[in-house]
Amino acid sequence: MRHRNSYVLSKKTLDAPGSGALGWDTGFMVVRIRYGGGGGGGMAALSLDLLGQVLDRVREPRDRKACRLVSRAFARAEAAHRRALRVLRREPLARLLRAFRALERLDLSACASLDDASLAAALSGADLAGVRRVCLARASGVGWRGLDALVAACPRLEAVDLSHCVGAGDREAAALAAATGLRELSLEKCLGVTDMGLAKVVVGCPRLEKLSLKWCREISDIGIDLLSKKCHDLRSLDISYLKVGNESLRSISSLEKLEELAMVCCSCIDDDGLELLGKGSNSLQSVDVSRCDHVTSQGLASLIDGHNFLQKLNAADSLHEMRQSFLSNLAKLKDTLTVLRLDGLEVASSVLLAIGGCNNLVEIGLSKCNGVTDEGISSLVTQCSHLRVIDLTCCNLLTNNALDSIAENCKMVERLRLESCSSISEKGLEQIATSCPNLKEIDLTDCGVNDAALRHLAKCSELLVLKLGLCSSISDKGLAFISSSCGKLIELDLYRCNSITDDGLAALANGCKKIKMLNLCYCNKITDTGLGHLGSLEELTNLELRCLVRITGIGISSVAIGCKNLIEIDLKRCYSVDDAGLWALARYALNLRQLTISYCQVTGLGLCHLLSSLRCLQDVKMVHLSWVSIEGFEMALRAACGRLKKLKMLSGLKSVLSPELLQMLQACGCRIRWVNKPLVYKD
Amino acid sequence: MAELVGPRVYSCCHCRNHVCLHDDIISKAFQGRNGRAFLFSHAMNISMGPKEDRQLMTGLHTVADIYCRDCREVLGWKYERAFEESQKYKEGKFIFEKAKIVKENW
Repeated sequence: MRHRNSYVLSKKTLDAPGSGALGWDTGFMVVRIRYGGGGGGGMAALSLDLLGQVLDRVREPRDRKACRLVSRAFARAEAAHRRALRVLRREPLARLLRAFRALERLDLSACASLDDASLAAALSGADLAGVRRVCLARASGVGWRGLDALVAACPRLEAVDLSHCVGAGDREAAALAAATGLRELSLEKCLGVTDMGLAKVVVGCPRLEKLSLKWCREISDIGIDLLSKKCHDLRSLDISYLKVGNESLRSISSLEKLEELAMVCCSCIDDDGLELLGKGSNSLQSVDVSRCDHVTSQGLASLIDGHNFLQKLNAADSLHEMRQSFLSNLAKLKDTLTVLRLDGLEVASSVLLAIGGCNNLVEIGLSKCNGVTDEGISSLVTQCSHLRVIDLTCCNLLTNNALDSIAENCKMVERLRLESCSSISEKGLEQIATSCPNLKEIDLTDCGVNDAALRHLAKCSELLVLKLGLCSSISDKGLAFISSSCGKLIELDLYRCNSITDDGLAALANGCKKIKMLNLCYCNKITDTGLGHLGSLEELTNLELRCLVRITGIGISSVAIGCKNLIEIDLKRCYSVDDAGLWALARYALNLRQLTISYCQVTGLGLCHLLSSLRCLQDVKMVHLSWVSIEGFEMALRAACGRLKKLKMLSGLKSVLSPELLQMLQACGCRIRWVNKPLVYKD
Repeated sequence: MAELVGPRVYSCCHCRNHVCLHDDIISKAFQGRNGRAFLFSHAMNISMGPKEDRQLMTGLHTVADIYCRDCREVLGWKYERAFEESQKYKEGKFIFEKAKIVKENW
């Protein structure tokens, strides 16, 4: 029997293959296709292309994977239409690039031990005419040869991210300069790039719209000047941490299309430079001068003078005082200003009142600002009802009255940072929870909140991020409240909430199935039973378990088996974790990329097995592994040599490990941090 | 080969003088006068006030306030002496209040 294809509004996750129902939620279009029973017979009515377009609308990666597994037809359709690919291992790279013809975005940043030879070889056989965006962040093994091959293979290349390739220099920049259509380029932390390399890029890629040179400290005013003369389409520029001076701002002020300028920690820039920028012809919307020592409110005033349409202004940790000239000019931005960050500034209530004049403010940053009081906050929020992000970290004078004001006036608030506001309590949080249904993120670290507060916060069913570090009065009861209705929770921080027990984790595993990041450091009542509950959190990617002295390999096994997406696990000072725990990780945690096992009771055998099995493992912290011999370290490190990117070890090992091993590690792009920490047991 | 940018530094919140390194953090779970504070093994560019006995949450200690050498902002204190055995590990170490230090280059 055959059924018609029908389009019905419904929402249903993918059923078992062959059952015939396929549904997903695109946000505003939901399609359910029914076909006849008896295998995928009716599917023949759907052409591969149509099926591919339908599959295009499946967003969640796990759902896409489920689709691929339905049948060969589904797999072919998905492969033919796949647009984005993130490769985790080097070996299948060539095959993958040939299998997916419609690729537009290629992410090779997590591809362990990728080097020029393998990249070039993989690119040679593939048809990559559609690839527009390539990410090679932290791909330390890729150099100019690989980039030459990339540019040659991808004629439509528009965006390249080479950030944190600290060895990249002018030769690599020259390779990228051949991509004439390049519009976005990140050379953040490409420490070897100088004015020469930058010159090649700006001459070769005149259509650049977005460029980051953050941390490229070899670049000078000369490079920036050439950039400004050649790349007229530049919209976004990041020159943070560079040693460039006011002359660069003179050059930059001629870029007419520039909208976004970041100059974090540019200590050679001062008010004169900002004045030059203020006189320029840019269409600046966003300026970041955080941590610029020599910028004062006077300079910002002259900047605003020339740019009345500024939307975002970040002056965190740079200003020492607030002059009236700045506040008066701020009034000019009353219609356009949406983001203002003044962290670290001494702020009087009158200042907050003046800032409140910008009624369209969406985000305000007052972290570590001295002098922020309930009155000041009240005068600000009564005028700015559109506020969505409020950062009040370390504003320790604030009490529940401030929370009342916020609850009354800013109903749309989404992110609230209240770390170290120790005078607030559950009464204030009750107001917030009742009045602000959109609350997505709240940071209550060190606020001393209790279970009653969590009972109120449970009303915020949209909550995604909840930080409760150092709140030792939180117990399992509080967690039960949260688990009962905050089903969307993604990140939970319970750092040093030492009243939490296994029962709390049971509640969490039951109610917050979408949790990805969980911090349970120093919650030392937790045992293997608790970890057993965590095993049902399939979305878990980052897990911090520092100093959980009762957990053993049994608990680690439960987590490793159940949490298939685990990328990072921190087991520092889990004194009872031994080789059995490492064995479980080696066997099951196949996606693990980052691991800390300092102070664990592991031996060379366990370490060696771990490092040779986990092919994605790139970052290992192993300080004070007292039971591992030198031979154990040698074998283990050799086994994982090509894959490791970051290591942290006791500095005493530097002189006893063989120099050739250390050289080999460095040649493979691995950075080693040697630390000198005394052997101290904490509890 | 270009050098990697140096260690992660914290600065005085007021005058951005470099005062301590992230790698020297021993513990992040201390309480300062007004909120969270960290225990560091080393400090730099600071000057010390007079020693005095203070009753802290963890017992009686001899401490000396530490000031930023440039702007004299009080940043925390140094533990000179601890009277209980379990607290001896703090001797010679520094407390910097979270509200008084900012990340410098990271």
